Amino acid sequence: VEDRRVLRSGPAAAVDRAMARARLLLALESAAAGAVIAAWSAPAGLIAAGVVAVWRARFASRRVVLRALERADPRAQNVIVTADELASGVLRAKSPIRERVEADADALLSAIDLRSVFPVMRLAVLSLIAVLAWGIAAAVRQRPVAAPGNVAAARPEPRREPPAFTVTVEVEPPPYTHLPPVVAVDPAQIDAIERAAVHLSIHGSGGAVTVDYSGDVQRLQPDRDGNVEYHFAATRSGYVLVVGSDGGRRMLPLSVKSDALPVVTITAPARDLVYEGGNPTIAFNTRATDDYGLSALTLRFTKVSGSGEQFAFADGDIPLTLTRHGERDWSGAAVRTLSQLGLGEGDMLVYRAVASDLRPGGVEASSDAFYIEVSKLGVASGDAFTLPEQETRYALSQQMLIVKTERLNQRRPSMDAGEFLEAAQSLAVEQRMIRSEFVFMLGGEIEDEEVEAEQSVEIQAGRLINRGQRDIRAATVAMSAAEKDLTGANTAEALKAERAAVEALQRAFARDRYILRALASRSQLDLTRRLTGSPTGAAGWRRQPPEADRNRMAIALQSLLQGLGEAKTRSQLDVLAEFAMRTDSQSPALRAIASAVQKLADEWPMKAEPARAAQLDVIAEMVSGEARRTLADSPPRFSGAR
Amino acid sequence: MTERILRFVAVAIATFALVDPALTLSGAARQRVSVADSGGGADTVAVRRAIHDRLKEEFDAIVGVDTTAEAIVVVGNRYPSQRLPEQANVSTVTVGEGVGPFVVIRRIAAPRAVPQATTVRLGIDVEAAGKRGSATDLSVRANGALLARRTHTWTADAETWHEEVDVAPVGDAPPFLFDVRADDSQGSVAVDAAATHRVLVIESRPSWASAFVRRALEADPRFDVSGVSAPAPAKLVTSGESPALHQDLRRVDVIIVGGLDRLPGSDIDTLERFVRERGGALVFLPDGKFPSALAERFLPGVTLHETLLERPAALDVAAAPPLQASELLEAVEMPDGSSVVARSPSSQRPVVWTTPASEGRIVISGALDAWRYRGVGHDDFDRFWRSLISAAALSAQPAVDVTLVPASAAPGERVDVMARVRALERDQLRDQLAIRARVDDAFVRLWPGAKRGTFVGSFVADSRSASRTRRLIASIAGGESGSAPLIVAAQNSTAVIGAPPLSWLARTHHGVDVTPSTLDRLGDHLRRTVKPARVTAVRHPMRSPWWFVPFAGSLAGEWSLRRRRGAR
Repeated sequence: VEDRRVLRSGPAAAVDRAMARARLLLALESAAAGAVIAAWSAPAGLIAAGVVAVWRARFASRRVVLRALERADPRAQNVIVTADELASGVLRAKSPIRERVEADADALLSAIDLRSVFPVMRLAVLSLIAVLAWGIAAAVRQRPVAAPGNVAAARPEPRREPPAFTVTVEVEPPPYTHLPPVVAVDPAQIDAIERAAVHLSIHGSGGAVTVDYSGDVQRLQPDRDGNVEYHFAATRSGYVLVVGSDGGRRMLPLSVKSDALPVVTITAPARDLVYEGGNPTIAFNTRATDDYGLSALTLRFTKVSGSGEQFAFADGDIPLTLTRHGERDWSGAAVRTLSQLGLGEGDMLVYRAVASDLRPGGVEASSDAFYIEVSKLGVASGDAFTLPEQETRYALSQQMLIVKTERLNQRRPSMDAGEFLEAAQSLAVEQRMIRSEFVFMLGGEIEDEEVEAEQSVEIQAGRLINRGQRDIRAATVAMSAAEKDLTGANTAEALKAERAAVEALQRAFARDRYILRALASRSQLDLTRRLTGSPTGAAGWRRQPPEADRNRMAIALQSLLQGLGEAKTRSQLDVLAEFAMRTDSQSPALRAIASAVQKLADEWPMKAEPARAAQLDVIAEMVSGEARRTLADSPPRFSGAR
Repeated sequence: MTERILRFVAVAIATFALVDPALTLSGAARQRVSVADSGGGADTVAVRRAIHDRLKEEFDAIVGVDTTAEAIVVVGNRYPSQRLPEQANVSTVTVGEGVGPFVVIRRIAAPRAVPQATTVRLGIDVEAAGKRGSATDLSVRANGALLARRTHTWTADAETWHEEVDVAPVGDAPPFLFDVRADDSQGSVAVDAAATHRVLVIESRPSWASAFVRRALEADPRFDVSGVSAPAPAKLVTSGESPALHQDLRRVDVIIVGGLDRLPGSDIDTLERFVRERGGALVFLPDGKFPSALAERFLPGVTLHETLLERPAALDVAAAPPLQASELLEAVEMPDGSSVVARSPSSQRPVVWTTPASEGRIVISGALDAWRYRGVGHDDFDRFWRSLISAAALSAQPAVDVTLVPASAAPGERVDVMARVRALERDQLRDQLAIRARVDDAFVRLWPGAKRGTFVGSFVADSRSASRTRRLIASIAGGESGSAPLIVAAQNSTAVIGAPPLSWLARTHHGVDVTPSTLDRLGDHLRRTVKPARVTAVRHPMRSPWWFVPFAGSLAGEWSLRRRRGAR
């Protein structure tokens, strides 16, 4: 030990330094070689570094290092090796000889340059190669598509998992709502405002995608990135079924919320007013609200002048002083006197508040209509205003139609044929609406037994005068004729029929008549004339009852329940979700059921059996509840019955 | 003198013997009571002997199960394996401690059949003991799908929980199977699919009361409606497949009559036959006073009182959609066995009600002007009448009515069959009436029962096919037939519903449960419920051979006295 300590201070220390350098170079060269391979694969680089280290380890052994030192100086003549063997005890020699050898070895080693014996050139080359390899790898990875002949492209791509099948839904509300777009990935349901733009981005489909939008089926090809884009405008509730070519599918119930019409009310006076005369002041207050915003609020009136069967109509607006409580809640006020309104004795003004919301097209909503009348007779009759309001309104509507038809007739020369036809047909629609509302208000067609029944109580009580019915029927017949003429753009003939209808209505609504209301004055019925007709002309006939519709919804829900009871696989649930949605996509309940079934189908592989069964139970209860609502009532059970 | 008396006696005996007079005697007969064991070992045997000794003094007590006995007493500590008739009077004597807490489905009431697209109402009785404070989940499934779920927390040591559950029929009918489970107890019930209800509407004059009911039925595909209306003398408006009151009463299940005051007498006779022989349902829809001619024929003893309300009122309706009316024809009294469908909200008298009549059923609607308020509550008016007429149609007798007891049986369990042939077919076939019954391919022999037109038999349930149900079909000459489904259960019919204690048997069979120390209660119960039978017997006293003794003695005495005085 003492000798080795001595040696360490002499040539041995120099040998140790040489060995340390050799081993350091070995480690660095192994790492550099590994780094070259790691540019392709990190694990392979580690393995390569290990292999190189093991292979090069023999070049860092003491024997090889000593030989290298001997070869570095031709004068050595084995002195360095001998000195090392003396130090390690392999050789034994007397002290003078030993000291001599150590001195010679020390002198030699002092003269040897270790950098030349163990050069760093190999390490530098390997490092350079590693840098180059990493640079190439980085360049290859940044390019999505390898160019032909590119070395990196020729190398097989590392295996990657296919991207998951996802549907990203972006719902862009109509601009006028000022609502931000909503983005969701695989949503349980698409909620959209009417006319919203819906964008679907389908990823990971593995090829072409079939999109079924409420029965409108389209097959779409993916773009270069493998994505499929689909856009539609949400107009009505339904569903979107996305099926990828690799079997992935998403059932997305679509719930479209309509933009509701503004709610308009007249808060003051909010009742009909009848004045004897004078010049009272009337304060009008209105309020309008909307779900997304209002664009206009005004007070619109129709002034009716004249009496008997001669009425004149004038339309107009009363400007309101608006108070805006945000975009969605407006109030309006105006104050007018009778003279400002231009009302005289016998005149009537029918008014209503009209508001528009922000949606394109300017759809208007109106409040209930009230009237202001200047009439001494009206004041005398008080609440028992003898002219039935509803019927009068329809008579007035028919009169307005005459005015419109006259205007159209006057403008005919300045209009082209197509435009004229379109305008005439619009009036025909209006005429049909007046007639249908009128008939509906009276309870349906006279021939219908429903109406007969409704009126039978009145007939039995002797409260219905048949002449009034005859006039009403004549009016509806004339309205039908007018509608036919307007459809054929024959405004001249239409005017005749319209006037005939108005005359019939005015006859029916004369103040000494009664329609579905108590008589203003007692009238004598000639009972001797009742039931005096001859039945000899009567004949039997065969009635054809309307065919009863089958309860298809109930049958579908029963089938759905049966399917849920038998569901054992995800594909079965996919089919059930689609079945539920196709049964009635307009039904919120069925959309919720379809959504729940689809959600369970998506989660089926991840769920354990008890969780699947529990979820199936929840869905089955939903379906059962809906089925109970749809099915006919259970018949009561009688005591003693079978 | 003695000689004359003896001669008179002998002649009198001979005369009475020739006349052979009959005497009718009446008196009380002892009823039979069966005493049986059900587990419990020697203690049970000892108790059973003690009971037998007590009862034999008042009853004809026999040992063992006799299902024909007036009452059955089961002694032991467990529910007997042998099935006892549901209507039997069974009391129990529990020996030992019995069983611990339990929950058991006691009864599942269901209609025998429902038409298509109709809710099925199940009436479920669940009984529990020793479960106070704990909750029980009740579920109804069909084809594996959960249809309804209820939870009940027990508030007493012994409690019965009744739940009415409306469920949707599911599966490939018929029949629809419903599996009910309450904790560990389970049961199943089968409901057949009913055919389309065939309804004939007769309007002897136009009547809104019947017209709107007809319209409600015509809009429902479950009804096949024919109509005949007489708007004018000898002028008919007809509709449907069978628009006439045919002599062949089998064509329709329900006849609705409107315009009652103009109904011809010949039609009334036919309607009576329809109820009495065909077993159909007859629905009267008056729109005024109920005609006395009809009341005498169909509603004898029923007083109808007309009430006018100030404003229309919703009638008190128990198991049907609501109905409004302001002109009411209220029944002051109803015949026995009647069911009330709707009552007057003020007087609580029946307004719409039904009563069995002969083989059939009569439904009377006293809601005279309900049609005027048919727009109230969306379609309540239509729903009410569809529901009621459907129930009436389901109550109409089929040509052959088949009942299986139990309706759910395990393979190997014996099932009793009772088939009942309708009066119409009975009268037509008379001596030719015979019935053939089969379950799948296997014939089941049915024997004539005690009542005319009834046939009884039994068969053993098997499980040869994969289906959970079997169907017994019984047919008679003329092609008429009836059927009933049998649920082939995995367990015995008593095991299916759980393992109840012995006392449950008494509670479900009109009896009492006592312990060996309270046997007096058993005696009281039997004396109260098992009355001695009053029997009447016809006796012929002169047919007794013992009359030879006085007869011969009298003759011998008379001859001896005559010889003694020297006469010949």
